[in-house]
Amino acid sequence: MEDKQIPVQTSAASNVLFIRQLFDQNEYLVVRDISGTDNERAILVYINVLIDEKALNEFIIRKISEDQSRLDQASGGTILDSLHTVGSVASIPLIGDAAAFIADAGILLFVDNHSSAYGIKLPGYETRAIEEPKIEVNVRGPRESFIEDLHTNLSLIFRKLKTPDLKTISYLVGTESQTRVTLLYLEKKIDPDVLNELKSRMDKIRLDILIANTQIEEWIQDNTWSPFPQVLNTERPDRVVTALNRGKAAIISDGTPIALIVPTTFFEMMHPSEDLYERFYFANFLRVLRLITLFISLFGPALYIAVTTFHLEMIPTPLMMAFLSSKAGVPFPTFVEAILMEVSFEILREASLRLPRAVGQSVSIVGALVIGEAAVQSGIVSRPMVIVVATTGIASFTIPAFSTALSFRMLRFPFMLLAAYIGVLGISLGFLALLFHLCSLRSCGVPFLNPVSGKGWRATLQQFILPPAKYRIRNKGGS
Amino acid sequence: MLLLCLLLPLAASCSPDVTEISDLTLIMAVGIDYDEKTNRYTLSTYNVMPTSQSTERSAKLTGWVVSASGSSLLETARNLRGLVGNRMIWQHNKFALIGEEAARHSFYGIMDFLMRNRQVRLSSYLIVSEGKASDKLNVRSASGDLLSNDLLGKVRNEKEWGKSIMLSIQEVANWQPDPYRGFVTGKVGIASLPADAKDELSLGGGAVFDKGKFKQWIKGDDVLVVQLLSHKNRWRNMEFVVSVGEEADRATLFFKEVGQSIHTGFRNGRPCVDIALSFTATMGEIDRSLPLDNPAEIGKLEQSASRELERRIDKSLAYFQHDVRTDVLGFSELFAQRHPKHWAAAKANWEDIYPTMPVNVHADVKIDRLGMIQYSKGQSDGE
Repeated sequence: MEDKQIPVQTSAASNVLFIRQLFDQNEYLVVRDISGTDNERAILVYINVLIDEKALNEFIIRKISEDQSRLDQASGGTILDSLHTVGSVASIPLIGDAAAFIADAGILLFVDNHSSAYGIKLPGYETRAIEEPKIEVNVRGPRESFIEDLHTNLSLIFRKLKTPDLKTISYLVGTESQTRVTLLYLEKKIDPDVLNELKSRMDKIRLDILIANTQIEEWIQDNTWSPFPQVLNTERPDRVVTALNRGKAAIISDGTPIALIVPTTFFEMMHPSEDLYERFYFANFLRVLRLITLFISLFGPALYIAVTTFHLEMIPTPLMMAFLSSKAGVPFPTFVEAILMEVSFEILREASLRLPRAVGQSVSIVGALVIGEAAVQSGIVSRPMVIVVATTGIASFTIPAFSTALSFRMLRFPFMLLAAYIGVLGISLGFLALLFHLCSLRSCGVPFLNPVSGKGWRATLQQFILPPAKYRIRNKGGS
Repeated sequence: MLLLCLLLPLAASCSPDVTEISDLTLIMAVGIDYDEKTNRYTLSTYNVMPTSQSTERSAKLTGWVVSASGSSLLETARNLRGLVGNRMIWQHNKFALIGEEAARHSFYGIMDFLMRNRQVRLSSYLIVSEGKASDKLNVRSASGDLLSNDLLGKVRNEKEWGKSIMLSIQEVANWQPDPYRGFVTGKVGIASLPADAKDELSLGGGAVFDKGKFKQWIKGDDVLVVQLLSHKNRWRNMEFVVSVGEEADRATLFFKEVGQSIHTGFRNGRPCVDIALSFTATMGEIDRSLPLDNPAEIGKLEQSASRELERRIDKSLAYFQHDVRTDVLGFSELFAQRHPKHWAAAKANWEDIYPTMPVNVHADVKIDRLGMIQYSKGQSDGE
């Protein structure tokens, strides 16, 4: 720790020595003396796997040597002047910062008789190309998604929001990883209270390494123990831009192709960005459909259990007869049957997710055949149960926010248990508890279930129904 | 501890309140008989459960009948438990068939049992059976369908001919205690089919109840009049067929009631009822060619249809008033609601007033469709 506070010395050689000590045992640290004379030495230090060494040689070194031969002067000062002409040069007075600069794809120049180091960033590592979104696929909207590189991600957002109003705050998170995290917001749209709260939470993050921004999410979320995510994550730059325009803040970290959006509400998680790209009739149809599938994915098996074991009078007679004939000879109680099917469905889903893609597909087909057909044929599971479980499974796929869908998948099981114990009463009690919990949740101080906005009934209604673009209130819900 | 928690869900199936569908037998129809001499009830239930326990495809449902007897209905119902291997549930019961003798002599007890039992649905139909009710449950429907489904279909057909009527247990319970009015509910009998054909249950006609007891049977034509003069939700969707005219030029029309007004009043201190009904009609069948493009001809037909309906309604009303002597149409209720003061004075003599009370009927028929075949003038002239 003490080393890092040491100021840069006027002797380039001793500075290099310090750096060498800091990067002990790192054979990729390159030290190049580019000074022509001994009286004022200029030494370049960098890590060669991080920077674009070819560009360094072809442009920077060549420029420096051309300038030297043109001026016929080989002092450190002239080298520094040449460096200024090829890029923006940072002046770094502390050794510790200098080391961090090198570690972050920088080239450092130590010059004799200068009490600070000079750095220029020249990242040369490979990054992935911008690809189509994999999770949030849509039909009509933009087809680009974030990648692992922060700069590329920022450029994707900046080129969609050409306003000086777009502000950024940078953080370095992780004592070891020193990962750059950027907080973005539109100054005129964001609520200052929310911004201050977010800033203070960002400052509290204590991590050794930051690999994925889920770690940030865990640090800044309001309720750690809730099954529901309180921060929206997206891989789509257009969605981030829409959110920024709605007065939200986005957090993008280097190394994660996912942006976090805070504050967010439950209903925003239920509306994918595609809603804005389809005709509003269809978008609204989908919104209603998604609410129905949400209900099915949470209560489907639970309701089936409750109705068929406790509330037989609720089943219409013809349906009852169908149930009666298909349940004949099934050895398990309905609840056990449901648990069996649900667990095997989850196993299948997990298996097809983990396996290599080519094999995964065959697993799901075989699994569906095995579970669906064979289980019914051999009389272990009844047909209606297969239908209920399959419908529930498919319904849970329609929830646009993957992490929200996960929590609903999980919550299905306690609901099934409640239904098996005390029927619909149990489901209603469970639902009440869930509702209380959702009402108590906050996302950066904003109520999670907040459908009501202070901007009048039109803005409130817009949380549920999407009006045509012309009639959308600008700022809120607009595109 | 964690392991125990994991096992806990399996205990859910041990809950005593759980009823598994596979352990059930559905009671789809129940027949109640009563023997006045021995003072014993017989309860027969038509049960449905899947027979084959085979696992391929879904099991076939079969219905069968079990009977038990006892000194009270509840006891009898419990005695049934010894005869059926599964748990019986009443919630899907659709029909309560009451034997003629039971309806005549112990209807109060039966209604009390049906109303008090939490599992019996009040929306199920109450039908009086000619002879014993248990015999009716044993009749196999010719279609091979379950008896209850078959019967339910016949109930649904009610609105296509109007000559049978079904009251739910609830409607019966509402009217049964009323000392002034009676009511008509369904009648089930066995159809007289050709000798080689199987027996088939038939709905048609009605059972008149008066003062909480079964009184007598009435015919289908009288039931139709009861339907026409009852509440709107009975006649609104009903379509019936009546033949109009003499033998030489008979036309059969579909009728639909579109308006009903029953006006009650007191004329010279005596209660009287004026009934105005309006119908629309569609040509169904004509025996000979008529110049239907002539409005006068249609008008004539409408006139004779109106007269025919009035004649039929008058005839049935006279039958109810003079022969049955039961207020099956609930005129007494109308008086009580609309003229409470007069009614307070008249109700003691209602039994004398009702048979002599003037009831005027006016029917108005409008033929609005002539059907697909349009006879041209040329054709009819040519003949």
